[in-house]
Amino acid sequence: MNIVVCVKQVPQEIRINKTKGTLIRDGIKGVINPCDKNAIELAVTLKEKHGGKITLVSMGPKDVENTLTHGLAMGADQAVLICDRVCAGADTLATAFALATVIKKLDDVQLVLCGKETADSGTQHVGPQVAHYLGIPQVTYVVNLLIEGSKIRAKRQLKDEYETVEAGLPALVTVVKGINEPRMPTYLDIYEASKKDTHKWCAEDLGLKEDEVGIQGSPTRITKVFAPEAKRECKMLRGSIEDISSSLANDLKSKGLV
Amino acid sequence: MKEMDRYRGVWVFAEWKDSQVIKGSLELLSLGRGLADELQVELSVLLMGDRLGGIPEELIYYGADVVYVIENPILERYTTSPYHRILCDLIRENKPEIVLFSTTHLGMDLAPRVACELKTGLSAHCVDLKMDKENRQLLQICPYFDYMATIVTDTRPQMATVQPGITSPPRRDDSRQGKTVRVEFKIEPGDIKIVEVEAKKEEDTEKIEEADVIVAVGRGLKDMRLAEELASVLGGVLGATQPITEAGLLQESRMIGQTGKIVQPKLYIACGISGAGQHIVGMQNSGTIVAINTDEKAPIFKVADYGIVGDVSKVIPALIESLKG
Amino acid sequence: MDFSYTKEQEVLKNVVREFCDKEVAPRAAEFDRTAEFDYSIIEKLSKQGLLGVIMPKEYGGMGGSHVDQAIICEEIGRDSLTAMVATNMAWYMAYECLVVGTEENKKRWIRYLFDGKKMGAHAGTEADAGTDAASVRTWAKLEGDEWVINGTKWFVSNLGKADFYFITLRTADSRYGGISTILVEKDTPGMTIGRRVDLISNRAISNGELIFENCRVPRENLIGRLNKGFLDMMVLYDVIRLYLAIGAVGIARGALEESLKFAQERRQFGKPVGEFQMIRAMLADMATEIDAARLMTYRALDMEEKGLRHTKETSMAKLYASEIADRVTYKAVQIHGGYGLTMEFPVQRYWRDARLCSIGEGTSEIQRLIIAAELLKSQNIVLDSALD
Ligand SMILES: Cc1cc2nc3c(=O)[nH]c(=O)nc-3n(C[C@H](O)[C@H](O)[C@H](O)COP(=O)(O)OP(=O)(O)OC[C@H]3O[C@@H](n4cnc5c(N)ncnc54)[C@H](O)[C@@H]3O)c2cc1C
Ligand SMILES: Cc1cc2nc3c(=O)[nH]c(=O)nc-3n(C[C@H](O)[C@H](O)[C@H](O)COP(=O)(O)OP(=O)(O)OC[C@H]3O[C@@H](n4cnc5c(N)ncnc54)[C@H](O)[C@@H]3O)c2cc1C
Repeated sequence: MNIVVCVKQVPQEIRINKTKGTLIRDGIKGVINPCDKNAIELAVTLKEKHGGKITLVSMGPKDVENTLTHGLAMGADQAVLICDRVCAGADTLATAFALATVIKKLDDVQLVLCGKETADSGTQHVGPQVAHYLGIPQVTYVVNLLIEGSKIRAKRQLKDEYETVEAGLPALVTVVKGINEPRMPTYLDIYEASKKDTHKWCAEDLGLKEDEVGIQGSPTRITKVFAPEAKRECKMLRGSIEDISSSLANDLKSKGLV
Repeated sequence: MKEMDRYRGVWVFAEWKDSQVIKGSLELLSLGRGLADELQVELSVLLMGDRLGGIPEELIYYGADVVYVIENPILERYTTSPYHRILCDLIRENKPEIVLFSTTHLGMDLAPRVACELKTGLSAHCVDLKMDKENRQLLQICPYFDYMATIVTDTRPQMATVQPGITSPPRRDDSRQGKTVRVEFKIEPGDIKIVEVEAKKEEDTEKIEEADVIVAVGRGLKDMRLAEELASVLGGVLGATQPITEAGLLQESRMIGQTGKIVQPKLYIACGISGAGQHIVGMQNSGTIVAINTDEKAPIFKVADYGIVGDVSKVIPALIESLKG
Repeated sequence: MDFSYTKEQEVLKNVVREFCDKEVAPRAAEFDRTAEFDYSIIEKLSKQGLLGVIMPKEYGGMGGSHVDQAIICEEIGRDSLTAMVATNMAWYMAYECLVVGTEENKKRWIRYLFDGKKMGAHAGTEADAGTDAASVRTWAKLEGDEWVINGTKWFVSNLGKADFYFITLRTADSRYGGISTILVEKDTPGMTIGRRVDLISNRAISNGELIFENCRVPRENLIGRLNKGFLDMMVLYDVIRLYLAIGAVGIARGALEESLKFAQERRQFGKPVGEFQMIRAMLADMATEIDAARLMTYRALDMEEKGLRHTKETSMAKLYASEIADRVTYKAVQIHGGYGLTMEFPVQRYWRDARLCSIGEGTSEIQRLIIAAELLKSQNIVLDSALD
């Protein structure tokens, strides 16, 4: 059974440019998005049981290659990186379109796995949107997944309940962090991984047109980034710690909060 | 006429549970009503399910002008494909300019797929919606790390998922009049079969959503025992930001914010929390908010009533003393 | 000349970081406070195939490069120098066998010692034989097929925790030509633990006195050639010292990273202290020195890889890295102000731990003597000038 795992590289640490409010990516190491590690782990355990081939698919800058090697070291068989300047600035729709285009080119994919959300922007859109482009069912928020013949049986983690569903293959599943404990590759795994193939494809290789990807292919636009305005009048308490705490305690008491 | 100008009207997708509209959907009615009035169009609500009883009328009492009702046993419990199919078809037919969803598991499963089929933009986790009236453009305001971002969509409809708890439900007015439109659809059960539903066993017996006092812990606090002590003096419970629960210092059920819980206690004490947008959306509607942080520029002070610039590990013990005294 | 990591090395670094974030970083302060290291970390490291990767495959290693090994050591050292020293002690002795051991030694001992669980210790120093390592007075005499050992060792790291001890001792009267190394397994009758020492640096590695009273071990426990132990030790040090150097780089990097975080968060005079030029100058110097030390260490490791002689380069790297580690951790404390002296912040621990680097495995003074001797091409200058 061939499995695709969608893997996004996210900065190891979220640091913000305090004057512009933008995410600092320079000099911060890229790592596999946490949930996507769970998705890779799931793929590897499924492969151990049912066989098949695992392909990692990612869209991002060139240095994502190293991140993908980490995923290969965890047990995936090959990786595809969509790497093209025209793909930059994609919103979720354009991201999903590019990912789905790659997945369609791969042989006989039965299962597509995504994380529930990413650590940097976390919209949770990409999974369902890739499923739509592929025309296959989506099962989101999965904490447990079994393959039974040509069906999957998945336990979804919802607000107050767990819902177990069945769906036919091919299908797309988004996983939550609690589904498993991702393995750490061993030293030998790392060296084995670098022998595996990472294909780098640009938009043209995939037949993607400029207005389908990147900023041009994105219906959403960020028009403004701004510091949140003060929602309340904040009374700053100053003085010695003892004074501050006794005046606060008194205020809280007089408001009947204590 | 431009294609865009064919789209008129504001739509809200309503969810219900135990024959009641959920709070998040009522809040959407508040927002939707405001937008519809500004644009001088109707506010329509989409309601799907089975045996919906008096819910359509309720939606009208809460501000809907039109309620589209699709009732069918297949829709009793949500599965993606029938809901998706109906929604896409109705949107194509009626061309609303705005469609709003609540950020729930259902909303987040459905909205992206619908937006994808309609090839339109979708913004996630909105905490405020404003209107650029001239261009009829919805300004979708989302947390952007410590900042906020305004997202707009150039295609129609403009779709957004909205954080619950960012506004209050509208006042119920049972004299309001509206129209209920029952839509008949040939509905296929779809490709997903629900085989079992089990209630979550809450391992955590304290429900932070119901607490009157929350002492919330962020990365600035190194010693969890201090927060515990403060919470016990105040008769409150502990909450946390995502990094704290991710580090395993508190259970996930204590996480407050975009991916965690939305809380509204009477008193909220933020200990060493800088106040990233993702956290603020979960607590900004609390009664009284006290923030303690070493950085006086920390965004948390913007939502606080009382601010203390200082080291939490020193402030908390002093506060405990004063509260006991 | 290539200054960049390979793709594998980039991933290796990430994986070791992940390991440390989970297993080392959260425990490091506790090890220091309780003066107890958790040796199960070593087993876990071994399960990941990350213990002693430079050991050849035939001996249960990975046949990895010295740079790979250094990446692992630096990453562990970044969180806890103690953890790095301790984990290295689980493969150093096997490596010693590999480098200086006879064929029988290798067959008999390497696999046995290097099993991912057993801990080693090296006892050279004595109360009166520190820098002057050739003046040891612990004796081993051959009686039949057994060595009989008498004497007292001091400053023995891993005391009481090790499964076996490599003892550098006297097997003949000749000063340099009478030194050998003998392996003694724990619980061997005649070997007892004496006074323990309470340290301020790397507290969690137990240390103290090891006493031999007619301790008998089999003849096969002689490691390397008889009476050539001093030379063997010098050869070994050319490599081993580089791993202490990279540990120093790691801990200095930790101090820098903590300082960068603190300097951006802590505000005085209405701005983060990282905006003040004097703090910035410190940060810049710290980063520059760390980089230089790492490059020097890599250079020497690369020479080892290529089979070149690098005694001078090793001593330079060890000298420089341990001294900058001291300066960098000192500055880290300074940047933290009063907080730097509290147990709540790790920089005080880095400062204390880093102090070992310029003392252990040959003091900075000795490294300078070696470098000068290499420069002046004089023979035995280190040893003999000390005797004058
Ligand atoms: C703060 C912020 C807010 C944003 N808000 C919006 C918004 O409201 N609407 C919008 O359309 N765009 C938005 N974007 C842009 C969006 O982040 C990008 O489109 C991004 O490429 C994908 O979205 P995500 O990271 O949210 O993915 P999610 O939908 O959260 O990711 C879910 C899963 O999809 C897969 N996946 C996601 N991205 C990739 C990738 N590049 N390669 C491989 N697999 C991937 C992974 O398996 C991942 O776990 C926002 C960006 C930021 C920084
Ligand atoms: C935490 C710790 C762990 C240790 N672990 C071990 C271990 O596991 N095994 C082991 O065998 N040893 C171990 N040691 C011992 C360590 O190797 C010695 O402390 C070190 O070699 C210095 O010896 P010394 O302490 O006797 O100092 P001394 O040799 O007495 O030196 C005192 C001072 O004189 C200087 N000096 C000495 N000779 C000269 C000279 N010729 N020219 C100029 N200056 C000179 C030294 O540099 C130093 O500054 C450990 C020490 C410590 C503190």
